Amino acid sequence: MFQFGSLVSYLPYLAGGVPITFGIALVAFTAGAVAGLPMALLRIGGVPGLAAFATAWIEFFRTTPPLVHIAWAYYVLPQSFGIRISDTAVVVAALAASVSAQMAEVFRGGFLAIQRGQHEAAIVLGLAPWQRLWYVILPQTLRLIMGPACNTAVSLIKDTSLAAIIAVPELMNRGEIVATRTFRPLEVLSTVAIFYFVLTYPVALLAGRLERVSRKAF
Amino acid sequence: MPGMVRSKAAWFGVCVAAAAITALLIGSAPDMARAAASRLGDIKAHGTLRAAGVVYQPLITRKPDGSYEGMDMDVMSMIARDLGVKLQIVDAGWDTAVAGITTGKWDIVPTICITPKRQEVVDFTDPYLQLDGAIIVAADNSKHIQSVADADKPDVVFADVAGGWGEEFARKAAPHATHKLFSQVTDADMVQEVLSGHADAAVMNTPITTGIIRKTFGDRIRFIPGWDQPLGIQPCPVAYAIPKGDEALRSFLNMELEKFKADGTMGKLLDRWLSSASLK
Amino acid sequence: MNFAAIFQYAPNLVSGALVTLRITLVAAALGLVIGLGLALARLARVRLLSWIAYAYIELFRTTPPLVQIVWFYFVVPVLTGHELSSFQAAALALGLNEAAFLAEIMRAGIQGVSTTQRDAARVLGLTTFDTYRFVILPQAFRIILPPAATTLMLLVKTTALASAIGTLELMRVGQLVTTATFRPIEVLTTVALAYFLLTYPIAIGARALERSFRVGQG
Repeated sequence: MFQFGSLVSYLPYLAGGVPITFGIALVAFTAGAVAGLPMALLRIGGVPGLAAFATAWIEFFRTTPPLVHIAWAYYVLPQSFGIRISDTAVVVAALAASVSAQMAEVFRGGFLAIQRGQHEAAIVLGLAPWQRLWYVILPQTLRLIMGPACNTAVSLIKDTSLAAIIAVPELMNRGEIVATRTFRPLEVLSTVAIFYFVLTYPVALLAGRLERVSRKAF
Repeated sequence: MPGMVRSKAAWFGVCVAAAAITALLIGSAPDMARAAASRLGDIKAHGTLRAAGVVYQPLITRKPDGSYEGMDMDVMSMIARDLGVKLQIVDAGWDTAVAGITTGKWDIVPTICITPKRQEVVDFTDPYLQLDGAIIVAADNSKHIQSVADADKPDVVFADVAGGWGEEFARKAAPHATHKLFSQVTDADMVQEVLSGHADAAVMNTPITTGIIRKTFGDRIRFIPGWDQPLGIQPCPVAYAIPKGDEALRSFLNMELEKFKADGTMGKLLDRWLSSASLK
Repeated sequence: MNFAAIFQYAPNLVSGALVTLRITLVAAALGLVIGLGLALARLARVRLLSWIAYAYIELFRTTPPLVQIVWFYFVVPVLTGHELSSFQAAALALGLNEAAFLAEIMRAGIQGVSTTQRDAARVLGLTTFDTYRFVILPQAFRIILPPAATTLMLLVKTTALASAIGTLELMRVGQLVTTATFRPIEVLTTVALAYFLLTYPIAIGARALERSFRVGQG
């Protein structure tokens, strides 16, 4: 069992990747959720040009792998647009775009799930469109989408592992480094998997709990 | 709450299961290595010599259709022919090259530098090439890195191939610099990192790789100290990596390599591949 | 941007796309079969079965597929002494991963069929097997379809991770072409387009199927 010993000495180094993973996920999720709501509204809004743009954005980021987004941002932003940002920022931007598309669909699902009666009642009450949205639709939507939103968050935390390909020193990258130092990929990978499990399982549990709660509300 | 109790139990069970699997693997892996007395027997029995498909331009390169070519490819094909078996190249990266030997994914790794750390877990044939290293920077890099001391600063970013000889070299040469470690990449990718400004420096082999870089990129790349001047921090004797303790395989490969050196095959292949080489 | 430079490698990219499709099909088939078993196990009255299925599902859903793919690539040969090609390892890992997601979707679908249906079937004297076959599963299918389609699209994108163990699928071929042509932007754009062409039809097909169900309901 002596090989496990050499792995133990690397645990602090591995653990150091967790805050970076978490940080990337947190910022990307916040940015994506904040961007996703207007995207969803634009898509169902009915203004033809904007709706088409929103639909294109959502469909593009939902149908292409986040790995491609990250690689694309890494090469294109500096070379074609002259935007020079840190590697971590590249990953956050790419993942946020992906999350915005997913959250847009989550929001849209929430809007659609609200019974038609609510929409009609709001109109009958003489509320203006933005009032309908702000006072009636949104609060109910937010409650409904909590569960699916958490699922998106779980996916996101796992997707942060893609940052390893551009050598951002998050958990997966550190795992790869430790694997090359110890020549024991299996043990290291299992440990990395456990780390990710510890990060995502609570969120997944929360998602399940929230889904049950929101179902009871109706 | 019943829901809470059940999740706690599942959590605990999952953790126990994961730990158990890990322990099982740690226990079983060394047994696998011990079981194969000499790989030669297995190789002949299966009729296949498996080699790690690492890429080191120009000794081994990979084409877009996935096939490999290069001097070491030719040498390995000849070795396989002499053994009377087929040569099979298994996709690999420098980060998994050594681990693949110890876990039995392949039998040999070509074009690999002998380092003390690697020697702890695998054995090597006698070297058939002697290389050293130098640092490359982009000519238009604003940090004006002129010497190793200039490179040894925290704001200097090195692009290293994880698990490669270059990474050890870079860390020894510039321990205070920031090192970006990539998996599944080749020297060509690291040159692109430096050229595009994503990284400031990288370590390349002299004189083979540096010579090719000079030919392909001209004065867009500067060398520290010079393209044919090694830093001597950690030399790279190039050899084949084999399973630890496998004397039979080692003797056989050494014999083959000696033969190819003596009858001039090595020299001819080296010339041929070097002359047509560019960093692609 | 100069796409002509990569045009000569179009056949390589196409064969990469075909490998992506093959991995997807094998993993989807594996996922469906194992997923259904897991879903039924989750719903079983035997506590132990439900618990084992739960552990499997949570383990696979909370760890990154990248880790799973590399893990299986190294583990299976060590455990079984049987060599695994990178295609096989990727298809296996992704299939087992897919099973976890599909299991939850199918479980939700089965549970979503109202209990009155189940009771009616019992009153009519149908066996459990027949109940599932003629009453529950057909209705569950309607609920399962949208999330299952999303998961399938996700699977196509996740096959990109097989590039990490060298499978010559679309992403990996893209990397090789990039190394040969030094044109990452053009290659990545083409690869992104290819993934879009692979996944978008799934979204459209699923929506069409959904609509045909709704027509039936009236």
